[in-house]
Formats: sequence, structure tokens, C-alpha cells
Amino acid sequence: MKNSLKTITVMLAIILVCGALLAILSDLLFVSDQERINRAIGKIYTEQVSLEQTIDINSVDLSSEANKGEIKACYVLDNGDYLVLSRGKKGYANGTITTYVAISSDLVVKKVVQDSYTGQTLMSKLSDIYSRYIDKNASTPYDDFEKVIVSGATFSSNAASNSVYVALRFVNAYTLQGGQN
Amino acid sequence: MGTLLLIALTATFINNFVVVQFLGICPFLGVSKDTKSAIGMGVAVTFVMTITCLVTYPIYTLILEPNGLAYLEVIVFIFVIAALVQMIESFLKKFSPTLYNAMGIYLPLITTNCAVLGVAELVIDAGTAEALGIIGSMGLLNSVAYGFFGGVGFLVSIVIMSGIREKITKKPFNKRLSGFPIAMLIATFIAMAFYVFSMISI
Amino acid sequence: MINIKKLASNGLIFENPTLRLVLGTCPTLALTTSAFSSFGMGIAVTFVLICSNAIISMLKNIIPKTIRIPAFILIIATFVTIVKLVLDKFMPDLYEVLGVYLPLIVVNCIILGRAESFASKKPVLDSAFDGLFMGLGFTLSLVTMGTIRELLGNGSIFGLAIWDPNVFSIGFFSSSAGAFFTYAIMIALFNYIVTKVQEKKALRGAK
Repeated sequence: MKNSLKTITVMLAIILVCGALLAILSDLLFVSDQERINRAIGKIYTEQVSLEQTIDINSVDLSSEANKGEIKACYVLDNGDYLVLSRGKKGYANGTITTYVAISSDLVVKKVVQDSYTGQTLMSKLSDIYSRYIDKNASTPYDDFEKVIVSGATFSSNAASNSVYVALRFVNAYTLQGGQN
Repeated sequence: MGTLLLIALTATFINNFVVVQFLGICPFLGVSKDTKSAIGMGVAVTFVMTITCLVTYPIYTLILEPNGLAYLEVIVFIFVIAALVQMIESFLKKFSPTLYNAMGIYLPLITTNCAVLGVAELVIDAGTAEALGIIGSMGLLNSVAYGFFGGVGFLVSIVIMSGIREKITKKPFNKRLSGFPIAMLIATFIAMAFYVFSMISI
Repeated sequence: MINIKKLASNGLIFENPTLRLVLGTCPTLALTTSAFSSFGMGIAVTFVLICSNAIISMLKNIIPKTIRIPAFILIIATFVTIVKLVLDKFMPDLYEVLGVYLPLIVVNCIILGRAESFASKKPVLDSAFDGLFMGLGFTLSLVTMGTIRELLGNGSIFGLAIWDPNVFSIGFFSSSAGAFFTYAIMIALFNYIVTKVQEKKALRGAK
């Protein structure tokens, strides 16, 4: 009886200490959504830019491009640019690549940085591809995007291109609908 | 229905847990010396993976996440898995001696198996749902299916491995390669074969 | 001081967890596509190893035998969660790269294995150093493998381009099949060298 009491006490003690420690640390080290967005902004802009408005992504119907990708979030920044978090499909092993696309108010791609990906293996090869999307705009046809390929990583290039293309389609549709401009 | 078929293909072949996602390598290398034990291990892993998803997915989505306790996920999951494995073992011992003889001995090894904790982590991860074209979180049915077919994929790989390994190790070969190196070299070829599946576009 | 030397040679060479004991194979195969991710995983595991070994050694007389495995796992899981929180806050790039393998450090056979076979029996300082050297052995093996795979598959090391991958690269090494292959060759080679060293030592000892 004494043994099992000791066992339970020790176990409970460890659980409580660990739980308390983690609770404190998770509070101290908490990363808010705002912080995540600021990190993305920091990756793209060297100057001080901040978030002005968050766009409701459901306000734009982009189902026609659903097989190419989806928009996960869209923000308007205080310098007039759109910051789109776009997920491109049709990557390697049916995976996806998600990128942050900075689009100027006149719908030209300023910069693309990678956010995350699923299922891709040769992402190191893709590091140069993102510069090839700069200056593509809302009237650039899809064929042009299909030509942006890194040899040996065709599928991944496809997903990356899709994410940028869908981002442009979204902002285009948003401004046509009379969104902020 | 389409989603389940997609999950079946993805978890079993395209994103095979062993040769593509590198989960469950330890038993894959350790228990593949003969086909009988390979099948036993494969079935045990599938069993545990399915039940794990069934339990951990609701615990995360209904209890941990809504209450801001997501940081406890690692601890809670590993405890749940350890408890589950204990329960499954006792249950089998009592109610199905035949099944226990077939796979019971492998159960304790599965507690610290990357594949089991791995699948629990994967089904709550947004990336997995994204790759399958599912908006939002995966849902209980999809998660359990993913766990099940992930285990099936493990079973397929380990049986292929044991079949080849049995044949190769019958005859003597360079002793420097015996043990892990030869197993890894066989795995190389299996991985190359499974690479073909990643070309499938759905 | 003799202790430290023995622990070092043990963890780094003779009982190298990756190449001799072949433990912790999952992150070894998955994260060695680049030297950076190998290094990151290695450091994370080393940190958890040192901390968990030290704490478990401190508590070895308090934890009853019957619940030692669950208790060890709980302690290890706590440190892994700490690493997760810290990386998410301060090194998000590494956090992304490690992905699902970060929580999987909990079930990394190396950590539980050392806790069970070493830390639960030896004094605190020894355990901490054992954790350090095992972790370093793991890190060095992983970084070696990562460098080879990154160099041959992508022409770069730690992201710095050494040569143009479009001119020369063997994509095989960046793939999953290449992971198994590289690992197999490294184990065979390392074991060969170590057995030769041990034979030489035995010969010298016999004289």
C-alpha cells in the first residue's frame, strides 16, 4: 500500500511540475497571429511596413481556379500593397506549396517568398524560382506561368507557379468587385 | 467517397509511411528478417495506428485546442498511445489468444514507434489535410482512414522487405554489409519502386 | 577527467548512436537532405538528451521502478515541448524545416535508450556528459550525411552554392532512395573503420 501511494504521488508530482513549467513557458513564448504576419512582412520588405486591413477571403469567388490553388489569407498593407498567402496545388506527389505574394496596388507582383509546403522533397532547388515571378501581373496568361520551371523539380515548380497565379487572380477579382484601390 | 479513395492511395503508396515519410523505420529494419514476424508486426502497427487516430484526433480537436492547451499535445499523445497499447495488449491476452499470439509480442515495441506518434501528429497538422485537398481539418473519419491506410502501407513495405531479405540472406555475402547495410540497400530499391507512385496525378 | 574521455570516445565513435547502434533512424533518413536541417535536428536532440539525462539521473532514486518508463517519457516529452516552443518563437525557419520530426524526438530511441541504460544508474554529471557526447555523435553523423547528400544532390553546403546544380548533380541523393543508400554505405564504412581500429588496439594490447 505504501509503495503504490509513493508511486502515485511521484507520478502526480512529475505531471504537475511538467504541466506548470510548460504552461508558463507557452505563455512567455506565445506567437500570436499578428506576430506571424509581421514575420512574413519582414521577409518581404526591408522598410517598415505594417498591416492595415485584413480582407475577407470569402468575399471573392475563386472556385474557377480551385484546381490550381486557394487563398488562405489576404491583407492590405499601409503602403498600398496586397499581401496574399496563397497555396498552390499540383506539386510533387500531389503536394502543395504555400507562398506569400506581395502585389502592388496596380496588380504587379513585387516579391514572392515561400511560407511552407507539403510533400515536396527538392525544395532546395526551388530557391531561385521565386525571383522569376517578379513583374508578372494580373493580365499575364497562365502559359507564361507554366514556363517558369526548375529542371528536375517540375512538379514543385508547378505548385509554386500556381500559388502566384491564383494570388494574382484573387487580387484582380477583388479589385474588379470594387475592393479598396 | 472520393476523399477516402484518395486517402487510401496516398497513405498506402504515394506518401508511404516507411519509404517516403521515413516513419517506423526501426521495426521495418528490425522485424523484417522473416516474413511471418513481418506480417505480425505489420498487422499490429496497423491496428495501433488506426485506434490511435480514433482517440487522439478527438482529444486534440475537442479538448486541447479549444482550451488553448495545444502545447500539451506531445505529452498527452504519448501518454494516450502508451495507455492504448497497454489496454490493447491486455484485451487481446484475455479475449483473443490467437490474435495475441500472432501480434501481441510486438505491441510493447510499438509504443515508441515513430509511425504511431507520427500519424497522430500528421492528422492534426494542417499540411496533411491541405495535401489531400481537404479544407479545414481532416475530420474523424478521414483521420482514422489515414491511420488505417498508413498502417496498410507499412504492412506492404515490411512484407516486401522481408521477402527480399529472406532470399538474399540465405546465401553468404560480404560480411561487412550484413545486418543494417544490406537491409538499407534493399530499402533503397523499394523506395525507388515506390517513387513511381509519386508520379500519379489525381 | 578519464571519465570524460571515455564518455566522449564512446558517444562519438564506439557507440555512435547513428552509425553503430543504429538508433534514431527516422530523423536520420528524413532530415539529411540538407546540412542545415541535419544540424538543427542534431542540436535539438543534443539539448533534449543533456537535459533529460541530467534530470532523470537526479531523480533516479525517487522514481519507483514500476513507473520509470512513463516517468522518463513524461520528462523527455516536456523538454521536447520546450524545444518546440523556443524554436517556434526564435527560429521559425528551423521549426518549419524540422516539421513533424520535432515532436517525434520524444520517441527517438536514443533518448529513451540512454535514459534507461545510463542515466538511471549513473551520477548526474556523468549522465549529462554522456548526453552531450551521444548528442554530438548523432549531430556529427547527421551533418556528415547531410553534407554529402546536399553536395551531391544540390551542389551546396548549408545553403552556400559550391557548384551549379544544373551542371552537376545527382538527384538520387536528394530522394528517399538516396537516403537509405547513403546511410547504408556510411554504416558499412564506419563499422569497417572502427573494427580495424579496435583490432589494432587489441594487437597493441596483446603485445
